[in-house]
Amino acid sequence: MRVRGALALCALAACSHSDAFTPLDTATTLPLAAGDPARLTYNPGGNADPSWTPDGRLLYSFGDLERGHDVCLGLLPGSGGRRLGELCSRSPAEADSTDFFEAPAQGSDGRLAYVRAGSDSNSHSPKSYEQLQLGHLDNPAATVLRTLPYVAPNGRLHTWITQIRWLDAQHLVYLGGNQGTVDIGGGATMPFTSGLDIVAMDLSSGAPALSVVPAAGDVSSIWLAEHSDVLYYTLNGDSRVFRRAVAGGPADVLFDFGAGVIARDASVAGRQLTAVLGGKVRLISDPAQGAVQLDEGGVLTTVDLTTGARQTAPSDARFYRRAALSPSGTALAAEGYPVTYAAIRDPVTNVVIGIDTVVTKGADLWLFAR
Amino acid sequence: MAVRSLGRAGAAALAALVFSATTAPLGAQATVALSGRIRDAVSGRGVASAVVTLGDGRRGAVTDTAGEYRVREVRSGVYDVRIRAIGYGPVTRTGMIIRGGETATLSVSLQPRAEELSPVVTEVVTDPVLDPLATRTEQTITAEDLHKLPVSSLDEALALSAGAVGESYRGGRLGQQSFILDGLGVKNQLDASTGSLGLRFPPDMLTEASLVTNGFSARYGQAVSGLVNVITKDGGRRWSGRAAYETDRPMGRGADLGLDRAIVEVDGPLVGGATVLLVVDATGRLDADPVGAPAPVGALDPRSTAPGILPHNGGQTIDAAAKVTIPFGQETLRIFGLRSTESRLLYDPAYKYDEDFAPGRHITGTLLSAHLEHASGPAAHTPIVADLRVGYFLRDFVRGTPTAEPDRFFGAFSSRPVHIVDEELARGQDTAAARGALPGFFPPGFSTATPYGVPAFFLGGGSRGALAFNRFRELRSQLDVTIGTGRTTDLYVGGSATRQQVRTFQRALSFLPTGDSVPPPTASTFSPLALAAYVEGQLRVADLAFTGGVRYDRFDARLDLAGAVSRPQAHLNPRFGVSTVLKGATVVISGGSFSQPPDYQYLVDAAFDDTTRTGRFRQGNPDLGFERSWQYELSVRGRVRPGISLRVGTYLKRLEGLVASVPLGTSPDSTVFGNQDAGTVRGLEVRLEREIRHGWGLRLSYTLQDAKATSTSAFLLRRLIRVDPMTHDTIIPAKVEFPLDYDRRHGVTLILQGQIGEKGGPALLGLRPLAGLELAAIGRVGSGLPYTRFVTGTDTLNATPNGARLPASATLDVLLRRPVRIGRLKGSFYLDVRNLLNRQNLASVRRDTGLPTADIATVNAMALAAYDAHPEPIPYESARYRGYADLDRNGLIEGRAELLPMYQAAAQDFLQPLFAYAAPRLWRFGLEILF
Repeated sequence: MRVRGALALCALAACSHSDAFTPLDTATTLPLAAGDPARLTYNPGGNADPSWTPDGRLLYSFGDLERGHDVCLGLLPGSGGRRLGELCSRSPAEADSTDFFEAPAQGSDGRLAYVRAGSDSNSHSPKSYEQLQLGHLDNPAATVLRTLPYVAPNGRLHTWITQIRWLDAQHLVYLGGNQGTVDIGGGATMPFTSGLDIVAMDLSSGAPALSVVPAAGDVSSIWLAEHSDVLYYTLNGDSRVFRRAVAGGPADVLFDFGAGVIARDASVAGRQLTAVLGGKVRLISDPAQGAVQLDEGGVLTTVDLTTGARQTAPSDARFYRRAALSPSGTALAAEGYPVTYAAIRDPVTNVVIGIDTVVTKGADLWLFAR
Repeated sequence: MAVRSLGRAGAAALAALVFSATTAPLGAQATVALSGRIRDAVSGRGVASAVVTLGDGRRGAVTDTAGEYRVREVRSGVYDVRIRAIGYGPVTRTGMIIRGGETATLSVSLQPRAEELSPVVTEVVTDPVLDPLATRTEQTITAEDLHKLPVSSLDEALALSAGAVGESYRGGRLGQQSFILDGLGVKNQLDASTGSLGLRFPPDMLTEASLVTNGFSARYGQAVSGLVNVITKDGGRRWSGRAAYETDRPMGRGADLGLDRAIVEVDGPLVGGATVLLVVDATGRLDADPVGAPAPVGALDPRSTAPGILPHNGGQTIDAAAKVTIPFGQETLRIFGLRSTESRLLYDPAYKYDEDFAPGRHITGTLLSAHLEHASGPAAHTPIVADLRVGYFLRDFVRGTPTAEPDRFFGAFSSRPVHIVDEELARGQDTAAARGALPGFFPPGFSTATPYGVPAFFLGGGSRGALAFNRFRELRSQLDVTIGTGRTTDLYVGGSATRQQVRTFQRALSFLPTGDSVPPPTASTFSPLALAAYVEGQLRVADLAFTGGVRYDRFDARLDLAGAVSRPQAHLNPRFGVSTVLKGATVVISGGSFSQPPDYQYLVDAAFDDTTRTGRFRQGNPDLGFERSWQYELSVRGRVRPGISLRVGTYLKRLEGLVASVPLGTSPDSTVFGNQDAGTVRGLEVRLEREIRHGWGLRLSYTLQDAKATSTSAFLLRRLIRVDPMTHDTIIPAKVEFPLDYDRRHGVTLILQGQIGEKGGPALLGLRPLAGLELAAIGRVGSGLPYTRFVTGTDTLNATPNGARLPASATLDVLLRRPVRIGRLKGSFYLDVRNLLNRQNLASVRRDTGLPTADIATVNAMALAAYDAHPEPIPYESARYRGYADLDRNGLIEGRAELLPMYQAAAQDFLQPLFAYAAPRLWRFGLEILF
């Protein structure tokens, strides 16, 4: 009995307890279907602003139908799959408004810069406020860096901020632009957003300080190379991709896609350049807004800067915008807009006189492997 | 020190008394009187001036000319009694058991010394069943009971008493009882009706405990339904101890509910006759509130494959007690300390899949007491025993959202207690800072972690935002004096003064700033003062005993709220008891008035979600008075046959001035408290006991009870308007009567105990595996408790409150114990099984259907409403996406065909009636070692 007693004591204490049930793990890091490109999002509410994090995940903004017309930030695995995190308006005080988180960019220290806006109605405009904020994905508390609209140091009015990039832990670069409506003829108007200036923001002092990086025209896109202050940018109505140092110095042309082409959304990783060309883009002159570039997407083109070889993504089913190369250069994410084609008929004879390219407003994100 | 540990030395003797539920004089609770007569063995005459002493000789009495003596105020325990008289040889009676609730009698015949014969001791012990001096109704649990029966705590043991329904006694509400620890009153005066005492008394420190439900001494107050009288043991004369460990680990998945319990008790002598007792009792449970709910039918519900442990429902309790007993001169100083901590995670069905935001709580109870006892010497002409007790009691409570999950190093045991988000703000009672949204709180949203994905029912991303803190502490000074005014009369006088301090803080929906729909934070700090005095006398004439006394209670909340100032409240409580023996049976008639101050929580405002007929903002009433009761009892007890006793008692209790909430103005969410409710409890209790003989014994008790509340509340009257079918007149009742919450009409408890002898049982290969095996079984059957039905989908009563009843419940608990030796150590293995038959007893039902489960129409209606609120498709990349719901695999769960089944499954899961079911079968394997 003595030995048995000792053994029993050991046995009682040694075996471990059973666990309680645990919630089902539905996490996945794979897209629904394999392929290149792979579709990352199926959200009918719209998906935009893909932006790679330093550790290779993908930030973006999406229309959250569960919260009405709110636009939230999401974080996806680099290869696609289930969202890893979200940043949405969770304040009950904002339940009766439409709230936006857009244009996210994550710094190396995990801080997130984004545009925060709100609208008093169930629509995206007019906005009751719009701010550039600094926060974290898992915490709605944020610091306001700039409230829009504001007058930039070059005297131009900025009513829109997009394409935010981290230069380093204390400096941001973003595209300050203009948004509004333009007359597109026939008495119709169209909402637009169009770039203007490259703005550098210094966060090292108490109040964020702004400066405008010189460019030879209205800027349509910007890109910062990884771990450097080399800035790539495109201009409205221009086929070239420019390059310059943020700190100063002259700009030069990195690549010219040729006459008659409007290049935009350029991104560079290593010796790879990706840009959106052609598609449905036009430069118009509005009496009130001046020169405005209306961009509904185009063809995604990659260039090997060493050899000059080009590769073009199929564009018969969708146009692309906001192409973003991953830090490693092995992946490319972009907004993809489904394209359909409709016959243009003569209103009198009903004869087909042309083909109209119809671009759906809501985009999904697509991932290209490199 | 003569008092010895009951744990082992007195075990054999006490075993014979295990089943006795006994009575004692009104005037004593923790102490009794030892009396008897000393005679000359030759002549039979009484021996005058014989000295009878207990223990070390400091306590005792001298016989009168008739040879009779009486030693007053003797603590429960095991004593050596020594009798000396000139001309006679001394006699020592060792191992005399003196128990609370009994009249201990020792009569001895002395041999004249000249004859040089061995002394002849004739001991006459009064039959506790027939003892005419016992007038109160008391049911005693000994240390041996706690050890041998399938109970693990004092509360569980007391629940075996006739008239007890959990912690409700004789139909009363929770909190209508008071604890008396070694004569010192201890009560959570802040929120006893909704909260715990905060202290747990480790069974290993107890000599005995008893439940007194009527006729208790005028010495005691703060209770209208019962006293729980706890007597701790002193350290022994030699070092000894007990260590035990029990667990349900070997049972495996399903029956392993994560229990670990470790107990260590050590006691022994210090210098100068002082002794010490140390006890640590620690329990960890991964599921501290297990439910016997059936496994769900939904295959997606994770409980369907693991129905045992509920997550986020565990915790640990640690109770540590120390007692030092220091004798000097005619005095004895006892210093006692007890600290109980409880850290609990609380399961919230809405947070089933997001445990991080489910609530938790931390409760700490601390008791420090000192007891100085002075007893006049054995030769004192007028014996006086004076007890001065000073006690400090602190109960600290905080509830809210835990800052982090506990680290679990062994089972549910954690190295750090549960800490609550913004706990410091709550402790600081910073109502100004608490007006804004509190840091660390986030608005909850619909969970994304459910198997169903759909945004409905289950919450995540933030807690409910409740934050509560309260602290109650008191410093009590109590003096009790017993004066032997004559051979047949005793006088008891005394009183107490208690300074108390109350601090409270509540904040609801902390993730929102206070405003229109968010009640403001509430906080209070006040220092009540309670005073009490009593005088009581006892007269004994042959077989007739009369006890009468009166107690004066007064409390002053000293609370000054805007617009309302508390006033001192006072109440006088007369009590009496008469008993005698008639034709072999003892008849007792007792009655008295009892009162207790209201829970102090009802004096101040509170802001939280509540279910006791209150809204989210509850207005306190600083002018509340005493809750009161009158009780009358007639009981008869006697012996049916030798070793078998029968007790029958009937009682009437009138409850008055009970605190109730009533609507304030026209706002349905605002109430105020008043001494509004009243009730009447009638009952019959029958107890049949067979003492342990020939290896077995039993105790059978039956309780018949009718507990009704009487209310003139406009709240109820307005809801019970009827239309006369003949005249079509509207009839508004003047008052309503309905069952009290704990009105259990019928209750039966059977306790069966048996033991095989040390050399008994069949032999197998030279061993007797069943030798010494002990068996104890407790069977309980009770009729259903009342509950209130509502009209489906509304909060409208469809009958009087508590007009419906739950089904009857039944349990069978069994404890098997086998003595073993491990090396030189003695010990035992034991298997303790609760609810052996795994009966699914209902603890509650839905108030609309009267069933534990919702009907399918309710499930579908909830699912459809949730779908209508969120019909939006769920995309593949969403955390809500579930592949099995995407029937067409198009990356979207969309439309009624794909979404609605998920909403229905979620509703079915959410409506699971987990806590409608009482505990399932629970196992404990244990090993104890005595050293």
